Amino acid sequence: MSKVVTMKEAIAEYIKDGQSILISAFSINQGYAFAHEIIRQKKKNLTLIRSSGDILADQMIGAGCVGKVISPYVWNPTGPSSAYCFRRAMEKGIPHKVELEEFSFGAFCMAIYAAAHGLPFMPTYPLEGTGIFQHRSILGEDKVRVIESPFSGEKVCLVKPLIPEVCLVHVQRADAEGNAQMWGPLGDVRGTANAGKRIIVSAEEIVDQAIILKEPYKTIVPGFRVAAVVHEPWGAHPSDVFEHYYRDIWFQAGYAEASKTVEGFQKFMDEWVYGVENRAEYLKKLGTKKQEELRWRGQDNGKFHSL
Amino acid sequence: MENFIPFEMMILTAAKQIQNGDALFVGFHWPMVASRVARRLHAPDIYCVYEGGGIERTYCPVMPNTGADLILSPHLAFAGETYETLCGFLAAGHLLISMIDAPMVDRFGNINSTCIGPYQCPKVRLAGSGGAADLGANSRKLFMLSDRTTKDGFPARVDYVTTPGYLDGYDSRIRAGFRPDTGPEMIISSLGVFKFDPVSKEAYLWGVYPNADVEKIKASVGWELKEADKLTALSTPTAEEIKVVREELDIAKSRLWKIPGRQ
Repeated sequence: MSKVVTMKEAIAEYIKDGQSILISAFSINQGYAFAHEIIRQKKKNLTLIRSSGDILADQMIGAGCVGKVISPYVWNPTGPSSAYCFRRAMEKGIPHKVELEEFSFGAFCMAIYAAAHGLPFMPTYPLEGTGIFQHRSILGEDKVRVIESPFSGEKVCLVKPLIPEVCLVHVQRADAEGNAQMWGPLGDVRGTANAGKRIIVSAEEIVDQAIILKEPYKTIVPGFRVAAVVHEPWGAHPSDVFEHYYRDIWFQAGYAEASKTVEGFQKFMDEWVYGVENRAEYLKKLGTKKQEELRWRGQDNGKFHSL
Repeated sequence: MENFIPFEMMILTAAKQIQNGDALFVGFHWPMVASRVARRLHAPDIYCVYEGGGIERTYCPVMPNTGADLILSPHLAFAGETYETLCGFLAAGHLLISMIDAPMVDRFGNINSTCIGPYQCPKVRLAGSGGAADLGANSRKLFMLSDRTTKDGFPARVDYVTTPGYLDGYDSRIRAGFRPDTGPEMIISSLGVFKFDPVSKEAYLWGVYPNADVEKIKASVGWELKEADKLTALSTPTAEEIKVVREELDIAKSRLWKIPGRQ
């Protein structure tokens, strides 16, 4: 059974105001096409769960879609630079206040792992004495609890399952049924893509099932867990996708510069999000020359040396 | 070679802590540059472990954007998961050293990369932890790299403990549940090199770069800085060492890194 739909259809049908959503992934394979469509459809009061907040979270915060963020950090890695919309929200409540619950990356991984694996909680690494332990918002006392290990008597920090209502995952390829394949360094995504009650996949390529069956070890989400599949080439730009394209650091730097002011951010969004109908138009705007520059070149990555 | 700046000495001194053959956890920013300098100067056979799940085995001519940048792909010996690197090799104690950026670090080696001012209404909101809290929790020997030279980079107490060091000093880290074989080893900064007192766990000045002014260093940190009975004089870098450090900073700059002292 084909689950292939357009991005517009997927977001309209499955993302509701006030939901908690996880958008992939740690630095790579970021679901920008998902985020931009959510912004265009003006979804509100979402709880955004991300292992790396990144520019994607910054844009959703700046666009006013997000009421709560659960993430280990939010930044722009190029420079590195501030995530300016995130800063404006946290420092001045612009465009509105956002509730933030911060985890260490390790504790985040354990909380989401507990969700994916049906566990009541997961132990994690020591956190007492840190700001992460001290400051609690969305999850309150349940953010981290401490017990005595029944085995050794040591103090152990525990986190409870962090269950997103919807997981939005961008992968290299999927079949029409939703068997989704991703490879290369995976961050937390293999362990956590299945944490959501519902999963939507976007893929660089939609392939015949025979191709999936030939290399099943690349599948990170089996089709039966997937509600909808979207074909979205370059769906992770400006982040990178293994064996497809490299990270667009120039675009990230341009975003940092533009987003320093509310007006600059608005102009950027008018140009790259509101001003395009869909990802295909975004790609046209990005241009074929830029796509060629960023396209994967196997073992030969040296061209960037001279850029 | 006499013509160098303290920031370059910081990078070089950090690189020199890495031995050929080491497997080390490399945090974002200056640790990445230091590991590249080490690889070129004296430690070609190292494994650089990153939180994104990759492990770099050979020198990448291009500066990655972060440790998770796929530009590193041809140089990875391992393309795995965070559950295997940050929550695996590091957490299980298989990496002898780790390096982390320390833009604000206090007298007990606690790092703040979260906010300046009160947490609820920060004056400046910064990125937050990422894996930084885990590096503080699980590193066997954590080297902290700072490009700062003023008191705001070395407060007596950070506004927010992102990376746990020795917390409030003495045995407070152990009492908070951290393993005894973990913790900060050294702060390598543009001011000089600090180690931690074995009992109080307070940072003291251990080593100085050529031509350093100790009184000026003391005036640049937010607590009454003690010094070693006999300060270690770190040797003047060779022309080759400084050349490699500068080349690596050039490569970083070509990939849009902001480099202190350069436009």
